[in-house]
Amino acid sequence: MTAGAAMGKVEDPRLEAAQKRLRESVDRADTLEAIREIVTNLLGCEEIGLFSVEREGSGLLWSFGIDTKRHSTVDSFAECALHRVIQGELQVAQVDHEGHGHHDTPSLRIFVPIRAHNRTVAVLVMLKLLPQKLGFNKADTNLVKLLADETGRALFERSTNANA
Amino acid sequence: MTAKKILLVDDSKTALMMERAILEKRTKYQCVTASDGLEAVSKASEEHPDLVLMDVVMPRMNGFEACKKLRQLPETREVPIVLLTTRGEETYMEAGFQSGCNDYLTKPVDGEELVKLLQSYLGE
Repeated sequence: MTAGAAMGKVEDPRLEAAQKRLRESVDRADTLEAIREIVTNLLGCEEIGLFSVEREGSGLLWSFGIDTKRHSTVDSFAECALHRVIQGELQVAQVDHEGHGHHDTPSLRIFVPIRAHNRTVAVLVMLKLLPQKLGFNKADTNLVKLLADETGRALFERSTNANA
Repeated sequence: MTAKKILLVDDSKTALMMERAILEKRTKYQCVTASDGLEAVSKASEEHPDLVLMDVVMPRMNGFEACKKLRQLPETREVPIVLLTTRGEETYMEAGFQSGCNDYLTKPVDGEELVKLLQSYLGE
C-alpha cells in the first residue's frame, strides 16, 4: 500500500500539512505552488524539476530553481536509473558536487516516480538539500511517497476527470 | 487560565498548516496566522499574541522589517519574536538579531525543537 493510500488520518504534522495542502489546491498552478512549498519548507530542498516521461521522450513540465539549460530532460541526470524510476522505484542518489560552485560536500538527488492511471507519467527531481538538512531519513521518505501519490492525483488524474 | 496565543506568520500555506498541526498536537497554545509582514504587524496589534513565530522571506514586508516595526510599537515591543527561515548563514542570522528578534530557527522545522523553544518562552 502506498503512503498516501495508507493515510486516511495522518499523525505526522508534516504529512498532515502536505496532504491537506495538496488536496485543497484549487488548480494546476496552485498544486505546483503546493509542491514547491512542501519541497522547500518541509523537505529542505532548494531546486525542483518535474519531467514528463512518455514513449516519445522526456521533457521539463515545470521547475523551480534548477538550471533548465543544463537539465531540460530527466535523462540529463546521469546518476538516475530512469528505467527503475519508471517502474515505480524512488531513488535517492549521492553525487559528488551539486555543480553550483559553492557546495563542496557530497549531496543528495531524489528522483520520485509520479504515477497516474497505473503508470509513471512524470518524474519529480529534487536537488540541493539545504546545508542544515543532514541526510534523508524514513520520515522524509514517507513525505516523498505522499507527495508522489497526491501529485499524481492532483496534476494528472484530477485534470483528466475535470475534462471528462 | 487562558491559553497562550502565538501569531504564526508565513506566506507559505503549507508552512502555516504544519506549524499549526505541530502546536495543536503537542501544546495547548492558541494559534492565529498572517501571510506577510504587513499583516503580521496589524494582527499583532489586534490580537496581542504572547509570541510571534515569523518567516523571513515574504512579499510586501519581510520578516526583518516586520520585526523592526513590532519593536517600535508600544504594544508589541516586549513580545518574543522567533524568526524562521531556510537561510542558516551566520550573517543572515546576525541581521535577524539586529532587527530585534529573540531567536532564530532554520527550516525545515523540527517539531520537537520548535515546541521546546516556544515552551522556553511561554511555559507548557
